[in-house]
Amino acid sequence: MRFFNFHLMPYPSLPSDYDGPVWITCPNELFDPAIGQQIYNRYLDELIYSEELGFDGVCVNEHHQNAYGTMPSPNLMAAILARQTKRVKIAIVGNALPLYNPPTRVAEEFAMIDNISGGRLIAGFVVGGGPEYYSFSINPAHAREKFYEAHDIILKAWTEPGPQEYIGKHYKLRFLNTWPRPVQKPHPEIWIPGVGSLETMEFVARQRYAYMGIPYFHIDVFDRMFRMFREACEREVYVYDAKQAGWLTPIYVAETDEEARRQYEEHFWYFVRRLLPGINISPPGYTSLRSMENILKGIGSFAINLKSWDEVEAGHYAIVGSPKTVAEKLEADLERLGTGNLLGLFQLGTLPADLTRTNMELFAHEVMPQLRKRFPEGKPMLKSGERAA
Amino acid sequence: MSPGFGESEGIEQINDMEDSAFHLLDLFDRLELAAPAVMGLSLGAWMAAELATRYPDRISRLILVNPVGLYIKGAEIKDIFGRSPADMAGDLFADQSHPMAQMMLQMDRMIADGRALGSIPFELLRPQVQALAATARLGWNPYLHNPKLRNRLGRVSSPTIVVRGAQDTLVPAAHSQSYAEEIRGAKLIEVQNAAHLISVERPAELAAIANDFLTQ
Repeated sequence: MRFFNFHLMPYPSLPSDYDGPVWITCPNELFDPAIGQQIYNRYLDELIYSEELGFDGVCVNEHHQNAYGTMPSPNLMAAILARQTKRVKIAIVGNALPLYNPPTRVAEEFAMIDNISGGRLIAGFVVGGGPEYYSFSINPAHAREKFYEAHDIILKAWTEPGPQEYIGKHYKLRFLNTWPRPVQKPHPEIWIPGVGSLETMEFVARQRYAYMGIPYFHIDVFDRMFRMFREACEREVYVYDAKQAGWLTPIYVAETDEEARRQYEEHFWYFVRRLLPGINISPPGYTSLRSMENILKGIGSFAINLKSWDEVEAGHYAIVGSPKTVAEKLEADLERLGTGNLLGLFQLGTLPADLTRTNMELFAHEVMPQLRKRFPEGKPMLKSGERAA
Repeated sequence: MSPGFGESEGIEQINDMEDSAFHLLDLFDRLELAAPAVMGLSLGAWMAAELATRYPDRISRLILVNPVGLYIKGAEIKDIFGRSPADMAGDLFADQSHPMAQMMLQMDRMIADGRALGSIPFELLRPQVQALAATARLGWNPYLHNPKLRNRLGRVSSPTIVVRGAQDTLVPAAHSQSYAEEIRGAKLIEVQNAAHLISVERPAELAAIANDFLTQ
């Protein structure tokens, strides 16, 4: 098991009387740069602190024009982390490939980060959330085609000596020859997040990358998702390695169960009720019909529909409690899901700095060691032959 | 039906409105239509205009109904990709009691509740989803227009009428007016109590206008 601290870097200061959209057209006047200066530096401190606490890695991600996540450029954050940490993996989950024109920018920046960090980059590639296609006015109908071409360009840039040509439908590059080249051979570990699209799973299985299950769904939905992914690996005629899957989930640890809920609940609801709405806007042409049918099956369980804390607990939408409770819950869930990477959201919504720290510390000191013992790295997590329901 | 709409396949071959125009031309050739009369609604009108400006001799008469395809600063076409069905219903239908308008309002209520949305049989959503995806393919950005089209409208040689639903709040009046002005000899006809989806709301009136024009 590998343990990552995943940060969304949310904007925690939306006016209480603002009830408009939080994505795409959320008026940027609502962003106070004085707060921005504070939170960016605080959140970076939290990620850097993860190394001291013993986490295996830290994660940043990419979203534009919204209050849910203020990193339009995760690569800037990763570059800072490359200098201010020495050991942890730095996972960019991920660059929204179609938003980089040409895609060689991703190859270049990722290679720079890999060089500066001494080979610690985990390269995440995403199609980019639906809202990004509105924010950038880029055609969602071509999103997936562009994603696959961009992926091919990046891999070509990293693994084939330049100069080369790449003449595709969307990108035509006559002198593909990126400097620098990454440290890791044959290339950095590649992660692809997903929410259940079959094409994505099949692609990840075929390429032998790792599939990160994106929240915010009922645990049963994750279970089904990872089973489908394992099946996809089987169809590619190999046995999946637990390191090829990761589960992203909010986690909150306090001294007692009661304290944990009391300290965390309001910040969780700020996240669910004020930051989430709009995240799964799906522009026309963005999702294939085949995948849409699949995704719609899980849509009722999306966290936006949560009405009570009981539902949060029942669906494992957040893993909250004392160190003992959290360890037990995570052990059971990880066993069920078979994921060899746990990506914890230790800061969420308006959760303040002090509570974020104690959360991280309690987790690192009292939960992580137990889980490391239970799931030693390199050992298979599931009995072979697990099939999708 | 154009690829991507209704049951028609083949949308992957079509990447922009120019491809659509040539697809139409291929269709005419295949059906051995030398110069048919062509009527298009909204996106279809834009498509027809793209064909008419390239191959004017292949269209004998042209009817453009609530056409998109132009950019007019200060009179921009309203957004269709990010708005809810309930919001759209007002632009598409002059009379909200129309069954299809009612269905859109009902759809809105279901979408707001994620659990209800998941329970709608996908076959019911599929045509809408597909049509909107095909429309996005053709008109996401530049939004529902071709910046080059206006300068080419002078090439249209067929007798032409432009028909507008007077209550169409999706496409401002300036668009139909521009088409009528730029196409030689074109006439602008307004239909009362009709919004953007005039062919659904006022089929009899539209048919009468078309018939009249085609039998002149």
